[in-house]
Amino acid sequence: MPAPQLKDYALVVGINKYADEGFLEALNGPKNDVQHFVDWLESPAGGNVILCLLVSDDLGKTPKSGDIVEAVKKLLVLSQGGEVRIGRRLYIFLAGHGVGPDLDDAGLLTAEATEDAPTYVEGRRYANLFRGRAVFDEVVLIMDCCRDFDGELPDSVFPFKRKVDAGGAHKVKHFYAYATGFGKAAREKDFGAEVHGIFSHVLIDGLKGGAVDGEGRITGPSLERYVKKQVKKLLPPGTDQVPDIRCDPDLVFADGFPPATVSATVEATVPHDKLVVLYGDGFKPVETAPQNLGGGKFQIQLRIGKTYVFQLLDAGGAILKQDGRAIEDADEVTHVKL
Amino acid sequence: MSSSEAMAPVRLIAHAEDESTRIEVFDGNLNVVPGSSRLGETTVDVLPGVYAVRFQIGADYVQRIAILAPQSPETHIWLNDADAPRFATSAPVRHTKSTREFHREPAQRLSLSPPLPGLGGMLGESHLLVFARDLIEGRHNDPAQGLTLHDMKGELVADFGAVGERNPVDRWAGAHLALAAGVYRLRLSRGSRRFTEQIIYLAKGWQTQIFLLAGGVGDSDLDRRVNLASASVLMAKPYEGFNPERPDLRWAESALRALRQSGNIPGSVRSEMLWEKFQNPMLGIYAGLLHLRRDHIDPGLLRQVFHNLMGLVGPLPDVLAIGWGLALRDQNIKKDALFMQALDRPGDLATPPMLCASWELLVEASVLRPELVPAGSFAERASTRLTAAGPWFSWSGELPPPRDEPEPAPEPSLPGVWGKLVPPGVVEALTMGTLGFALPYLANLLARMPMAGYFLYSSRFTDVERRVAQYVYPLVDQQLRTLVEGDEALTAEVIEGMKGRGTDEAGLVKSLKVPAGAALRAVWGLVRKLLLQPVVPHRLMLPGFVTEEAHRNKILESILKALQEQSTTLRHKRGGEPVNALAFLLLRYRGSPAESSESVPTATSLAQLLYENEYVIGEEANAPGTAALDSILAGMRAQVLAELEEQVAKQKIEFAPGWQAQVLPDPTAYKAGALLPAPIEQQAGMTGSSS
Repeated sequence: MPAPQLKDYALVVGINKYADEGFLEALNGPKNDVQHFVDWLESPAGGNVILCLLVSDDLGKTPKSGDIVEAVKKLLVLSQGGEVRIGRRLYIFLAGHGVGPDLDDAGLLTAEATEDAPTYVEGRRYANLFRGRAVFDEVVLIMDCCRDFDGELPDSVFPFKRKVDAGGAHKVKHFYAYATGFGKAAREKDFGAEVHGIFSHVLIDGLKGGAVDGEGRITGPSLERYVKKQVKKLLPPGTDQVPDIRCDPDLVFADGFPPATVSATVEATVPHDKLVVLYGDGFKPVETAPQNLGGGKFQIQLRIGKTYVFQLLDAGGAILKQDGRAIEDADEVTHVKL
Repeated sequence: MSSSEAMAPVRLIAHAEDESTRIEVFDGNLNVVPGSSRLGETTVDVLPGVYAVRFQIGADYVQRIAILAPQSPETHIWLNDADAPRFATSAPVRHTKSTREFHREPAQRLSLSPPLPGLGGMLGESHLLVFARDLIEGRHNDPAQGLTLHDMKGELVADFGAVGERNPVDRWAGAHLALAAGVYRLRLSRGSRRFTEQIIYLAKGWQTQIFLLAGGVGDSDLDRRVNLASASVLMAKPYEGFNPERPDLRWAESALRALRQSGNIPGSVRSEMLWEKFQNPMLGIYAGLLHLRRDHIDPGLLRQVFHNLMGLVGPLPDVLAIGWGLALRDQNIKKDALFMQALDRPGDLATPPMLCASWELLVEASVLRPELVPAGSFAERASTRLTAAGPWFSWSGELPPPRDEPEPAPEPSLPGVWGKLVPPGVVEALTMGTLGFALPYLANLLARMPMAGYFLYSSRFTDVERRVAQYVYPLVDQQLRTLVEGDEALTAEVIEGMKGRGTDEAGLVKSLKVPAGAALRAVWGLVRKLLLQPVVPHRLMLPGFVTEEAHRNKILESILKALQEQSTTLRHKRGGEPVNALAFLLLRYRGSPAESSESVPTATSLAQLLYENEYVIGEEANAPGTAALDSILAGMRAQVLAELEEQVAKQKIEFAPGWQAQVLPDPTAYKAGALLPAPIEQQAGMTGSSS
């Protein structure tokens, strides 16, 4: 079971219903997505999280931009003007209708948005507010919304100064994940019991254990790989939604899981004395020995999320044949013919 | 061999035949090797080991493993087109995911068939092939429905839902037309009034080929239309037509995909050189634009690309954009008078480029040359309606008509009171076209005019004016102002955060994607509409009015000045202070500064003006009708009359008999200086009581 985390904070916003229904019709997924995410946050894997939750009311009146700004203000106050570290990790989870204000950001349309005044909050700006001030060790931004571009968009609501702790900001690890690429739509899907955003559904599944890597960890890159592959599997045929994820490679969401492994088979086609399997940069030996199945066939259990080289050696240790593989997923079938 | 020798870095170079392929190298834990992400070619120095090299186009990728032994020489990993990821394109080009034999054949055949004339019946010297298709089996509607071609006046040239050939079973429709060389608007309609457009250039002696895919999975057959955002635009000589086997077409398609993301930076320069071999102007344009994303450009190569494109297709805005992009990056080019002369063609930039990347370069260049994109031109107006359309410059709906806005005053300074309101330097900046100087003044003006945030949303202000105002002074937005109200620290943070932004002219035009000339005119428009010609006179305009109407008499002056502190029921619908009584009198008797008429306004025309600018009466927010305006005036007349009668009774002032009829007279009989009766001393030429 993963070890409990240190103190984290989460700003979680889900907007199903909007005041101007002629402009933005009601969604079915965001509140469910938020609930699933909160369930994970409050589970032992999620850790010790102080949560600020903003979800739609029945009239579609809230949450407004101002509510989100207020929540951020309250959080910022804890840093005492940027002088004090607030916590280990900040999660910002935003789900609802969205816009694409530029190539690198997504904007969550807030409840009061109308066609003439489409109020929105840019997730990355808010995430960078905390990242720039280095008041968390890690900042995680998750946005499940469309990223349609509209040249007439006004500036987003952002009443904060961009203070940067030049020495500390670059040390803050980040994981910024958008449900889709710039200018593209994000989709919901009926998963039987409930409707969810496909992206949120997959991402939360990944956090719950689906994205465990070969070290028994869920890292930024392992989650990215998992989300991209699984979203693709769940999309209706012909649709295009590729999650846009930018992250530091050493951000670890959770640790202590059993390492995810796959069973690889190796088929030797030339006489040899030994089969060697090495991995990664530096050619490190794997910890399990190949099991000889007879007839030149071997089986070996390998951790996922790594690159491998399979070598047939002669008695003097010279390489007779070799081939490489990158094993990304637990459901991959790896067969190497040498 | 020592361990340090064994672990010395070795070099890995990965190449893709298709230059627009994104290449990334992953280390042993499948993390991206920093700095390895490049287009077409990448080079990294890494420790010996096993690496994965990913070649990605669109959402799909193929992976190769690089085994780098210690002390190995350079290791090269190649990916040829046959093994490259199959990406989806609108053109049915070979080696793409979306190619279909039953689309390739008719597209090629149509492109070589005798062209049809446009609606005018004349065969022109430029050819246009439009081919729309649907990949989803079972769809029955015409993929070209709603797709039309228009000239720049908006007149229909071709309806692709009706002309050419179509095959409902194989789900395609296409037409090959011969039209006059020039600029056209390709329109996709979704309903009677909703449509999106993008620009199409037909060059003499070339066949422009436009391929479109129907989109909207899940939509009903009736709603299923092509998607302009994913359009493929190619060019070929008419006798060659569309040849899906040509490798450069596939490269052009993947270059177009690369242009969609700003992070795609080419790693080598092969395609920039290759495009010419295939005489493929679109690949030349894409490659030129991508080359400009490099940290270090090759000016000689780009110069050649520019000149060759000019020779092939002439000064299309996208070609000029590459030239301007080069001038922005290379100081030596700016000193080359001949090259700069070739770029200086505002007439050719009256229409927008095809690609957003080109527009961004032109907008940036307009900071150097504000008149680069002509004022009120189609290009400028379309830029105010930019919409999402992948890499294409595309807009939605009818464009606003060119506005007949007065230009900034040609004099270096404004006379009289205006000179005090707008410093000479600012007028000069507005006249000479220097945004950097005018922006801080505008920010300052907006900061001192809390009502500006309410006015901006009326139809009197353009979208660009609103956006410029919000950019230079975000607190002009009433929603933001409400958010920070009462929170001094937050307000201070916002103001601090704005510092420097107001003077950043390049930042402004890039952010708003409007040319500097348009931004400058927006600044002038804001200054004019808020300060020089507001709908309701502002406080700075009132002292002059008092002086002219008080007959140099202290008592009259005092009564008029007191009106300034008295509110009327007239107010702006969105909020702010009500109109004060003195401003109302100035408005009623002299007319709105927003209208240049010399004569006294009629109640009807004034009511109309106030209504159009969102003024209302009372808390009930009634429309400002003539009766309401008359009622306000009648109330003020009674009040001023009572005050004067009191002064007369106290013998502080004396008027000729019948003076009461001259107090706030009927506006139709008003002449300047006759708002109030003249005191008797005044009539006799005595000025003893004047101030």
